[in-house]
This record gives sequence, structure tokens and C-alpha cells, in this order.
Amino acid sequence: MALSAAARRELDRILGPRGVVDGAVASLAYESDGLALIRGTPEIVLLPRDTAQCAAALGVLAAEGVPVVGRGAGTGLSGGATPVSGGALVGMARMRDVLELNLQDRFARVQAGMVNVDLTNLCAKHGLFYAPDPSSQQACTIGGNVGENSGGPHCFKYGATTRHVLGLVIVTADGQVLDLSQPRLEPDGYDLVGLFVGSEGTFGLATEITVRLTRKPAAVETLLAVFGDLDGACDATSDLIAERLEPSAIEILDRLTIEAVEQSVFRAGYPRGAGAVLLVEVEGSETEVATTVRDVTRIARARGALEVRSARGESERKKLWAGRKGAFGAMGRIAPDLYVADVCVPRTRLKELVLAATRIAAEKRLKLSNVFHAGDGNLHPNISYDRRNPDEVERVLAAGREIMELCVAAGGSLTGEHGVGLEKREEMCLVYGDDDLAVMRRVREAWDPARRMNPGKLLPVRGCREARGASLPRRAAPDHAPQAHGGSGR
Amino acid sequence: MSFNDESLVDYARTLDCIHCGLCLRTCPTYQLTGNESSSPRGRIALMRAVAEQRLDARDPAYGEELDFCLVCRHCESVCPAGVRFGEMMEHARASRARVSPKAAPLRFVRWLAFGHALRSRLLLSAAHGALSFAQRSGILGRLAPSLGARGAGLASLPEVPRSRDRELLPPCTAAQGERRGDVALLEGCVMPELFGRVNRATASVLSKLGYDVRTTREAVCCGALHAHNGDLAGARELARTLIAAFEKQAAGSSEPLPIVVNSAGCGAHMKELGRLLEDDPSWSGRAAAFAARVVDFSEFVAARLPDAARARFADPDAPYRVAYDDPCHLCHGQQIRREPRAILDGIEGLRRVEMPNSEGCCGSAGIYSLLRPEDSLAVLAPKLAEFQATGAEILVTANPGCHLQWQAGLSRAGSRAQVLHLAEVVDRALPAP
Amino acid sequence: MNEQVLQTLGRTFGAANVGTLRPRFDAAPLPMVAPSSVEGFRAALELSRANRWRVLPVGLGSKLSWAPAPGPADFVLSTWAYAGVESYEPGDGTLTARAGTTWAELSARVAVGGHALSPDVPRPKGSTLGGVIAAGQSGADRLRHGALREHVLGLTYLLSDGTLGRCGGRLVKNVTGYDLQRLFAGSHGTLGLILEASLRLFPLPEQEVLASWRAPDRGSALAAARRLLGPELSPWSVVLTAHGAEWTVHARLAGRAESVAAEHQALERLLPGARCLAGEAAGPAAQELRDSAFGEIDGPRLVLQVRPSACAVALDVALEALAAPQFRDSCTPQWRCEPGLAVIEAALGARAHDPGLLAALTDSLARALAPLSGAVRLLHAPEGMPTTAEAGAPSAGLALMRRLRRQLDPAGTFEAGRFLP
Repeated sequence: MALSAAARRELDRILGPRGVVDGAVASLAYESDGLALIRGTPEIVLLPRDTAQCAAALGVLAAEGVPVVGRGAGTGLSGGATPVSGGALVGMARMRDVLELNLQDRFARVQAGMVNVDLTNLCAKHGLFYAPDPSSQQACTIGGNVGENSGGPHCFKYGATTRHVLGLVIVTADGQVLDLSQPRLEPDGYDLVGLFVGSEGTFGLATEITVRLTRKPAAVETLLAVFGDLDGACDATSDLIAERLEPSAIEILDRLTIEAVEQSVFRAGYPRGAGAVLLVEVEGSETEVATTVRDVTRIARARGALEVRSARGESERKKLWAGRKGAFGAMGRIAPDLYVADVCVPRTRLKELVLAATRIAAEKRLKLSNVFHAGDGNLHPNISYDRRNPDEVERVLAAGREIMELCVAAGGSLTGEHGVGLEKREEMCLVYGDDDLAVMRRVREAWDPARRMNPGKLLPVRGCREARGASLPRRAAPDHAPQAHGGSGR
Repeated sequence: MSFNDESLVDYARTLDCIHCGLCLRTCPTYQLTGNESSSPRGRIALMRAVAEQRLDARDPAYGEELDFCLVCRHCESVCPAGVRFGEMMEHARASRARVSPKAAPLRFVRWLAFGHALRSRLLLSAAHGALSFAQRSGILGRLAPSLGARGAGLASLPEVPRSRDRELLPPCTAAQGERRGDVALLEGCVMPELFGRVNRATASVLSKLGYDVRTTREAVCCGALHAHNGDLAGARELARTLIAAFEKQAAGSSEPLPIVVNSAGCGAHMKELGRLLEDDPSWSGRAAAFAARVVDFSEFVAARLPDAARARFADPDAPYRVAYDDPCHLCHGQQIRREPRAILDGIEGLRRVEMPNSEGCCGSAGIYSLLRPEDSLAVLAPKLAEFQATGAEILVTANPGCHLQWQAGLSRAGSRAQVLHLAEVVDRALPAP
Repeated sequence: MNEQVLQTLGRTFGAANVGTLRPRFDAAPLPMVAPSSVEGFRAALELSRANRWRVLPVGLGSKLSWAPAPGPADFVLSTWAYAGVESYEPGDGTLTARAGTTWAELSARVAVGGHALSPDVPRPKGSTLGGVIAAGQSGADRLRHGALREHVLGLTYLLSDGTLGRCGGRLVKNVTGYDLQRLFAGSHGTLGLILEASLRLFPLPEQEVLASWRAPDRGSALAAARRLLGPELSPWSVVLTAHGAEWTVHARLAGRAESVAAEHQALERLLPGARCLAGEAAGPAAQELRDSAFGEIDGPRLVLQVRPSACAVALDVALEALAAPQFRDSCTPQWRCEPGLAVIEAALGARAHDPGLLAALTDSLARALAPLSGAVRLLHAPEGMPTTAEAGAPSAGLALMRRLRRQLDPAGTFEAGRFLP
């Protein structure tokens, strides 16, 4: 469905210089987000500067009946920003302004393209921070975080994005502006803001976001517990949860991840050769921190920690976290591509499921590493592979699915923070039945009756009964198989 | 799938990129446009598409994205996968230059500058003389508007120093006070022409620290600009000349003579010559040995300044406020951030202030500011505002391109702040022993 | 009461199983059934579809008059008999239970494993899990734990067309599918019936201190509260109550023993002269305080919410409005304020029943507080109050809310009128 010339001219007029991008080169750069396995080509890329431009552009696209995909920084790992149905991709990268900073009531109103870490930097000098800290926070945008309801290590204490979004300005599929930006304690009527967060761009585009800012704690301590193997680290985490301790983050990195990080620019000083490290941050009053540190240390030792030490000062703490957050990218040193699973499991079953994932990967001759939000039961079994090897790609996908099946069977879920997107769309049937999904479709149609917003994401294309009958379709073709590419190949 | 040698190399490197996007926020051109294809990750995706033959390297939009990149290498400092983006860009530009006819007028400028002028001292002076004449006679001022944006870039060049300021250093500047040893100093190609005073300050500091400072006239250009702009063959040729010249100069020294470089761009390139010549069996070893000798002025001096006499720039009760702007090829290219700051902090009469984005590119980027003046100024604009917000009176840099860019930007903004090379600051502060 | 409805229900559920419930304190009773199985709920909804009856879903009915008045309904469908804990996972800190289970029962159950529920609700024996969620109820402990809707991990719901659906799960972190929990929480039963819910649990405090301090005046009460809400303490709740012009500050410290001991010391410094109740007595005393603040329904209850920094100003505005001559005679306001959350409540008393007067009051307050992000609600509003005037009628997104409603309850079985004028 090509855009008419008149619509194209209108978009140029609305968005101004460098606001409309098309052609082979632009399409190539936008054909995937952080999940490089699946690609799609946008017909046109729009880069608005504010809500008004965004609304006007969506109005034009509505008249043309063109699908619309929103994109923050394209760091998502579930293919949420991949334009699988072509159409227009709306990038938020030029919408980075702070619209309001209210220190008294601790909230900020920002444009959707603001980079997560910039928000925290902005309010740091006032003793405040923005709590959700996805590992990609150096790049990912607040708008993208809203779309995916992103998490991060410190969400263990502070909760995921949805707990920090107080208001939104949403541009709906028909180009209308829905202003829900007033930070209210209770929603006015239904909680549209809460419903929108995590809707993966299928309801509309959030253009402005009112977020809660959190007061920096009086005391912080970061502990690094070194284990000979993953089991000890997992057991210690389960014990921490069972004892109802309340650190702000509980993370685990395994041997392979430690190696990769220590070779990278984010070298953090994790002990090389350790089987696993448990990274625990404790925040609060001096007393609170001291007692929790004491208990965490006791539990870690009881579970066989070889060493438990505290970060010496702010700079070492920062390094430990930068290393943790750079871990995903650092895996590029091991193989060209990385499949990041994002399953959640009950925290009583961490060890068992981490072990099972390892076994599945081994059976399929795949290289698996683990770096995850242990405290939340949010596992990231990462499989390194090379997408030029179609057979390996098949095995990776099969392993990914097996891991999901296993976790769901154990009371877990498909995704804890990366979203369903394209990648886990069909696996939704592992968790939900046709009725559950039909209701979700109905809710979606209340927002976007024509289903033009980010089509093909989150909800399975086929009914679950039907899909369970057949074997699930393989989602990704190997890299060089013919696909609809915009490239003007020779 | 078929690769030629060069694109195969590129391809292997694009595979390091895991598409995580951590580079985006650091990229000055992405900050400017918000367009993924002008980000490091986007450019790598394009290179990869070319290597996989999904994109024609002759596509002008591809060429535009390659040209648009400043090669500041900020992305390398944050890349967890360790992608060597600068090197990839050099290869990508080189392989594109081979398939794409040099139609654009830009090519001519490059050809003139790289093919000839920078390689020969004589021609450099001639080119310089012409520019100098044009500036002094006012021709440039009248001509510039008719050249469009590029003319504006030329017109904003600082005035070319008069010829006495452009004299080369003597082959040896003797150590003052207690002699500690010998060092070699790279004079460079642009430096003597535009910043002879910086070379003199560098030599003076080194001699005050007790070193005989030796130069060689057989080495002119290190080839960094050639490599950055895709002329890898030219860069290799210059590298061989350079290596040979410094080998010859050091002949007879018992231990490897450190080669002090006061231009961050040259230093970063010279430290990587081992990789540039790694496929040349007769040169790879020599290149690696040469690269190991290269040391930035700040590295060399920071280690020795504390032992020297107390450096004093001004009355400590009325200190100058200075801001240090990290040249990209020092902080990202050579990972040197601490030393220049330590040097400034050790000098009395200076109060150093930090700029929030001191590691961001100023937009100079070699000849970029001449080729794409509008983009270059747009990249500088936020930095300029940051500098002015600090209230600093002196901006300290350590690279000639940045030096020019800041001078032009500040004068355009009507600022009275001075731009000084780190060596100039140290030279002024450090008393003779 | 509609005899036909009563009889039909009786035929299906057995006459003995059909009771009555007064949907509002001032309304006529309606027939009520309370099935104890999903089939039972389905059967009731089937009847409603067949007869085009409108259904009023309730738990124990304690918060029915919280939202704007329900319109005419034909019968009440209660979840109170659909009760019981499905699973309590002490090692994972989660709880899944049927909607009719009372808050008291759930609290007792999880206390065994060292957990507590949030919110702290008044009269937990009279509140059901489904009711608390449907009403979007939060407590004063929100200061520490956040709003209830943030702790609902998953739901099982039944739509009026008989669709039994699930959303979320039993995990503390999960983004699989739309967050319909957030849609259902606070929807007052207008979208569907909540049958089962999973909640995140919190550590049961090892130690508690309940401090109360009688302030000489309102200003010093607010100033004291500000000190308690500063960086030195992280209180479980800070509440001000007033009897006449006399204001009392109540602060509850709870958590790990060492922390509470340290905070207790700090509190004594910040609030010299406070009367402190520690240990075993503190919990029940805090519950009593909650219960008494939300006494038996004795007239409308005004709830104001503003930005925290505007709390004192809003309190001034509200006090002044109610001191006006036309209210002085009919209202005997009992004030309660949570300065940390900027919630102000006034129980207006049984004599405040003039719909016109109350409408004027909420209207004028809504106007005055609008610049402070203010929201005004009137709980237990008397019959006959125009719906829009029961402030809480949403402005933005109204059309969308209506579409959501139509999507989930196309026939309008779950009663119209609430939220959506």
C-alpha cells in the first residue's frame, strides 16, 4: 500500500527538513531493532519533533490506511519496533526535550524520545533519580520503556516502568491527541495510562510521558558474592526471597558472561574464573542497609560463597553496574549474534530452571550464558550463535521455545521485561487460551479499531487451538533467504 | 556470496556488532538527525548489507552516510562488543572509493589535499601561501559567499600565521637543566603550518623537562587523514615513509626512543599502524615496534611534570578558569582522559571546570569541517553552549583540528575566550630549570 | 423488588440461595445470588442475557457507593461465596485467591509465612479480595508500598457474555500480554466480574511503632508531618485526623526490628512529646485507627487529591468551603489527611444529604483545585445527585472508556451509569 504523492508531500510539509526519510538505505537501517533475527522494511520513516507533528502525521497516515510502527531507540529485544507489515515507522529520536521538571512533587514530563539515562542525569543534582534502569538505559528511550513496560535490575525494589508512569500524552491511530498527562494519584475513570504501558505500540504512540522521580536513598551498598557455580548463587537468591529481605537489586552473572564483560570496555573487576557472581545492591537508611548487608552476607556464605565483598566507593559501584549492563553487548565477543530469552519463573525454582535451560542448550550444541535479574525470577538464558548458519538458527529457536515451554509449565511466563513483540507472539498460546487472547483483541480494538498500530505484534496471528494442532510456524528465515528487502542489491 | 578481500575484512568486523544500540547516544550525527542510518549501528548495518550484496555500494545515500560520519570514534568507547568502528569506516570508505566514480567536487578537494599537498612540505607551504594570501588580501572574504556553505567553512578558518611562525623546529632542541634523555617529536604536516607555536611549545616543555628533542624532516604526514577518508593505499605508503624516517633517526640509540605526538588524531593513527600494515609481512613487525614507541604529549608529560619545578600559569589568587575538551582521538582513540586533566590540575593559577559532554565531538574531524561546514557547526553548537555555560576563559585542547574548530566557533559566537593547546599552557607555566 | 427476577433466580439457584442486598444505604433492596462456582456465575449471567437483566456485581458490598451511583439493576451478583486461597507461595511472596475471600482471612493466612498484604484496609472482615481490587482501594500504607493496582499480578475474570478469561499470572514480574489487571482494578465491576486474583506480598513487619501527637493547631500538625516525611524516615503511614479544630498526627513505623528501633529514635527527635505505642499493641491500635476513621457510613464522604506540595493549600480551600454558611448547618465534617499522598477526606455527616448543595460543593472544589492537579470525589453520595457533579466523571479519554466498556460488556449487563455520564 504505497503512500500517495500528495500524502508524501503533506508529510514533508508537516515534518520539515530531515523529518521524512525513505529509500533503500533508510529502510535497511530500520529493518530490525535489538532483535536482529527478524527483519521487515518500512516504506517510510518519520521523525517528528513534537506531539503536534506526530498527530498531524498520523492523521495523514490514517487517511491513507497505512500501518504505523513506533520506535524509540530500537534497543528492544522482541522485535517490537520491526516493521513487519511495512508502512510508516515513526521514530522518536528527535523528541528528546524535558517539558517540565517538578522537584517539589517529584515528577518530570518529557518527550518520548528522551534517553532513559538522560532523565536520571537531569535530576541527579537534585537528589532524585528515575528508577527503572534497563540494561540498555544508555540508549533506550522513555517512550520505548513505556511501550514495553521495561524493567531493569533495580526494578526488584522499585517495580517496572508502569509503577513510575504517572501520565501520558497519546496520539491515537486516527491522529487524535489523548492528553492524560496530569500526574494523578488515582486515575480519572479507567486506568488508561496503566493499560497503555506495555501495550507494545499496538494502542497508539505515547509522545509525552509524566514520570515519577524517586528520592535517592540515604545509604547504598553494593555487594559482590563470588560463587564456584551457578547453583550456589541461585540458591542464595531463593533464600533471600524466602527470608523476605528487601535489597534493591539481585543479579546473577555466570562464568561466560564474566569473561565477556572483563574483556570489554566495561571491565568491572568481576573475578575471572568464578563460576558465578551474585550482585546485590542494598539501599535505604544506614540501619536498614547495615542489617540487610549482614543478612545477605550470611546467606551467601551459607550457600557456599567463596568471597563476599562490598564495592569500595561510588566509582567501583558504578563499574560493577556498568559491567552488568554492558553484558549483553559484550557477548558480541563470543559470537556474532545473541538470542536473549526473557522468561520469568517463581523464585523458588530458580536453580532448577537455570539448570534445565543449560541442559537444553547443551543438547542442541549451543553456547549458553546467563546474566539475569535473579531477584525477580527473570531469567535471561542467552544463546550465542551466528545467523549465517541456518541450522544453528533453527536450533537456537527450538531451544528458545523449549525453555519457554519449560518455564511456563513451572508456573512462569514468556517475558518479564522485553515484551512479546514478534518473537514470542505465537508462544502466547503457551500461556493464554483463545478466550484470553480474544479479550485482549477486543481491548486493542477499543483503541485502534482498524488495527493499524504495530500490526503483527503481541497477539498471535492464528488461534491457539489451530496453532496447537499444527506445529508452530518457524518465525525467522535464515539470514540470506529471500525476504522483502528494500536494498537495491546487485 | 562473493567478497573481495577488503569487503570480507569489513564483513567479519560488522559481525562483532550485536545491534545493542548502546552507541546511539554518543553519536554526534545521530544526535543531529535522529536517523538510525546516521548512527554507528545503522552504518554498520549498511556496511553489512553491502557485504551481503543487499545494498549497492554505489548508492549515493550510502555514500552520504559514510561521508556524514565524523569518525570521532565516540561509539568505540561505549561498545561492549569492542567493535573497531573507526577502522571499519576506513575500510568501508576505501572500498566504496574503488567502486564509485569520483564525480563529486569533494573528491577533487580530497585528491588535491591527500594526493599531493599533505605529502610534500614544499607543496604544503605553497598551498598555505595561497590561503594566507587569499586571507590577507581579502579575496577569501569576497569569494567565500559565492562558494556557499563550503565557502563559509573556508572563511571561518583562522588566520594563517605569518611565515616566521611557521618555521620548522631545529633537528635537535637541547635539554635544559639536568639531562634525562632523548625524545623524538613528530612535527606533522598541518601543525607546523597552522600551529608552529604549538610545536615550539611542545619542544620547549620537553627540553625544560630535561630531554633532547629530536625531529626528522623526512617524515611529513602520518597519513591519518588519508586513512580516515578511505585512501588506505596512500595511508600505507605514508606510514612506511614515516616508520623508516623515525627508524633512521633513532639509529644508534640504545633503547627505543619515545615518539612524542602533540596531535591526538596523528597519535591515535600512529599507535594503530601495526594493524594498518598487518598484512604486509616485511613491514608488520616494524610497524608494531614503531607504534609501541608512540606516546601522546600528555602521557609523556603527566608522568614527569610532578618531578619538575612548580608550574604556575598565573597568580593562584586570581586563577584562570579553564575547560579541557577531550579530543576524540585522544579519549576515544587512545583512551587518554586522566593525564591532561592531571597536568592542568597540577598547575597553579588554573581552575579547571568540567564540561558535561567534554568527550563529545566538536565537529572538526579532520577535513570534515571544510567539507561539511553546516553539519560541522551544528555538531559544535551544543558544545559551544556548554563551554560558555562554564564561564571558562580558556579552552584547552590537544589536537590541531579541534583547535581550529573551537577558535572559529568562539570567534563566530563573539566570545573572547582563548583556545590553547595543552603544550602551550604547560610551556607558559613551567619555568626553565 | 422485582418478583419475576426473584422467582427466576430462585428456580435456578434454589429459593433459599437468593437473598437481598441494598445497593446503597438509601436504596431499595435487590435480589442477590452468590454462587460458589464458576458455573454458578455463568448460569446467573446466562439468565441476565436471556432476560436482558442488568447485574450489579459486588463482593460484600462495602464500597458500592464509592463510585458514582450505580444505575438501576435487576439483581446483585456477589462473589462472597466464591472464596478460598488457591495458593500461597511463601518462598515466592505471592498469593492467589478467589474473589470472595475476605481481606482478614487472607492477611491471617499470609502472616503465618511472614507476609503482609497491601493495602491496609479498614474493617478487613467486611472487605473481599475482589471488592478491594474492583474499587481500586489503596490504604495509608501506599506511602511505603504504592497503590494496590501495582500489586495485582494477575486476574481471572468473567465477562457478561460468559467468557472466562485470564490476564497476567502469579509472578512478581511479567509483561506477557496486555496489563488488563490495571484496567480491571478500580473499574467498579463495570467491565466484568473478578473471580480470582494474584497479589504480590510484603514482609510482615517484625516490629511496629504507632506514634501519635496532638498538635496545637493545623499548621504545626502539617509541619510535623513534613518532618516525618523527610529523608530521615520511611514511615509505613502518616495520617492527620481532626476532631473540631484539634489535629492529631499519627505515624506508623514498621519493618525490621533494627530499622524500626533506629527510626523510633529519629521520630522522637522529630516529634518530641509524641505518644508511642510499640510492639504487639501497635498493630491493633493502627487497625482501630483505620476502622474509626472510616466509621459506619454516616453520610457522604468527600475525597480530595492534589499534588503533594499543594496539600496544605487544598486543605485550606476545603476547610474554608465547608465553613460557608450553607454547609455549617448541614455538615459536621470529620477530617482526615494523608499529607505524604496529598489525600484529604471529610466525612460530612448524616445530615449532609441535599444533592444540590453537595453538587455545588464538589463543583466549586473541583474548580478551585484544578490548577493543583486536583481531583474531587464524593463517596456515598445521596441519591439524586447529578452524575457529572459527583466529580470523578472523567474528562479525557471518555470516548475511549466507552469503547472499552462496549468491547468487554457489549450488552451493558454490568450496569451503566458509573464513571461514564
